[in-house]
Amino acid sequence: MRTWIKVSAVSVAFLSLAASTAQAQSGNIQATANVLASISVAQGRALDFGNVTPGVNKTVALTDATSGRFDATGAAAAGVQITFTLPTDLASGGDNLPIAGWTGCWNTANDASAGCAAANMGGSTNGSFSAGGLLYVFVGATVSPGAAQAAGAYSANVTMTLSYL
Amino acid sequence: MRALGLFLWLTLVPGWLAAQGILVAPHSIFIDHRTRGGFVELYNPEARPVEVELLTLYGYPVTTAQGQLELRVIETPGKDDPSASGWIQVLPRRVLIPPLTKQTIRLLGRPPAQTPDGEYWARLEIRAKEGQIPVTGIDTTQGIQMRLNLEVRTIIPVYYRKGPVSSGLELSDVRATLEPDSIGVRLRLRRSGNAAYIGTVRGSLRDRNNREVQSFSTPIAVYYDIDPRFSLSREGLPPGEYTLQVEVAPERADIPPEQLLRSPPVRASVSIVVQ
Amino acid sequence: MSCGAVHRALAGLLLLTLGAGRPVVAQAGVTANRDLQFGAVTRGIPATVAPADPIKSGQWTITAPAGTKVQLRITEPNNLIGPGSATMLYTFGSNDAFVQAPAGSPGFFNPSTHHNFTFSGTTTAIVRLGGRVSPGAAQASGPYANTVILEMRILN
Repeated sequence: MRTWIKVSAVSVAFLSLAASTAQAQSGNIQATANVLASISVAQGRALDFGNVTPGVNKTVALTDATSGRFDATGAAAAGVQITFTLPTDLASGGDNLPIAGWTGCWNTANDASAGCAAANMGGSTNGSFSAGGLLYVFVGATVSPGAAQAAGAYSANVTMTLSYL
Repeated sequence: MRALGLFLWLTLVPGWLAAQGILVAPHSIFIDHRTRGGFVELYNPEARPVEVELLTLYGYPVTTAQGQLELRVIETPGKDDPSASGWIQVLPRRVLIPPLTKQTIRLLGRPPAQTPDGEYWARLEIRAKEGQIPVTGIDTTQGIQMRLNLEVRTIIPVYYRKGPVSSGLELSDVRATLEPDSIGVRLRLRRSGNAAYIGTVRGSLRDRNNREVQSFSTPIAVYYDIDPRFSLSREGLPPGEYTLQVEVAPERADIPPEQLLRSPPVRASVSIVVQ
Repeated sequence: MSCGAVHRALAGLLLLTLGAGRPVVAQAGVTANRDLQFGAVTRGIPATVAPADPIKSGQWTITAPAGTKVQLRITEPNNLIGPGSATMLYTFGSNDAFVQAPAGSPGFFNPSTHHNFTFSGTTTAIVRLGGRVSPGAAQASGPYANTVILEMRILN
């Protein structure tokens, strides 16, 4: 009888082993993605002249809280060339509203004063992204409405080009 | 009454929409002649559609006399220019991207028969007609409104590689100039091989104890010989002797390593005395 | 019957049982077919792969004898790991996995919960997995990956 018990025990052990092997099976896959480096430019803040009086020039300086701002993102420390094509007038039908005295500067921090390097608004400017891939471009200008400036919706085109070097 | 009527009309006009930006990825496109195809993805993060136009042109970075990098665009490439702008097809060339939508743009290379092996260059210009920049300053009693229509153009490099390509770099003439608040660093980079050199320039300013006190690291692409300028801050730098070590290596954190051409890093150093 | 005969009979019975058990061991399995591939993603823009995507979704084939009841368990990471140990958030929704027999409809389930499935009239089925990655605005560019494990536990 002891022999029977031994055989049984061994057989049960084998069965248990077989069952546990069959109980769980597994397989692995990978979840993968490839993050692309990207570049973008967005308007961070409108160029705001506030109340404009006919016949009175109004200037927005770069350091004003109402200067325009473009926010760009790109590769860390990468160099870019910034170029503007700027209007001299806003037009409404046959009427013009002069805009001039464009000023600009670029910075790797959101700060138009400390460390903001002057931009050549009539040509191109070299800038670079921060270590975190950020670049800010600030814009100011002067509008000169005439004393009898006609009512209307005045508009003009502004082109900003960011060239990856 | 007429002025009042104008005032009421103006207040009913919806406000100008803020202009946002098209996101472009990747920022450098590599095309292998074996597949002839590449892509770029444009994403519109705005809540309204954005019209995008794409063009190819030929250009490459050069340095000015002051060491600034700028993009030289050549309107009519010569027969010896390694230009791909004339035979890279962009599909589609014009697209209206819906709000919050990604658009894939395909590039297909069709080089002329008998085009020799080597790397050919183009630039892809992506013109996105954004919204209207509010130039607020509405004098509603006089009926004057102002707006600026913004177009953002992004220009990114395209590299078309046919057959075996290689690239190397020679670094020479490292020099440093003390300026009131910075140290200007110039170096001469001469490219070899038949492809642009894409890598990173690293500078390390070390004191007499070989301790790093300042550094810079800048991505760079060398198409033809250039003489770029870099800058280190002098703020807090005590007078003394320093050594500037410069290294240029074909490494980039923003470009997949399989796109970078191998070559040994190049190094040079120069002594600087800060007074 | 002598003790010895009883021993041999019982041993034979056990061996038969063991022999009957071996086909379960041989036929039950999980085979990885395809990685879950989000492909090229852009910083700041989440990317989603539906489990029904025939190319990008992750897929396993599971096999077991007809009639076998199993429990499916998916162990998923919270992040994908990239350059310099950068992490990118990986999440999934309540219908981002399904199991489907050849002639059946997909049975969707939440990958974070255990899901029971019966091999009714079949010995094979596929398990598909989708999900969502959310690259941050300053996400380091480059390849990201992590391991997803499908475990199939036999219940009967």
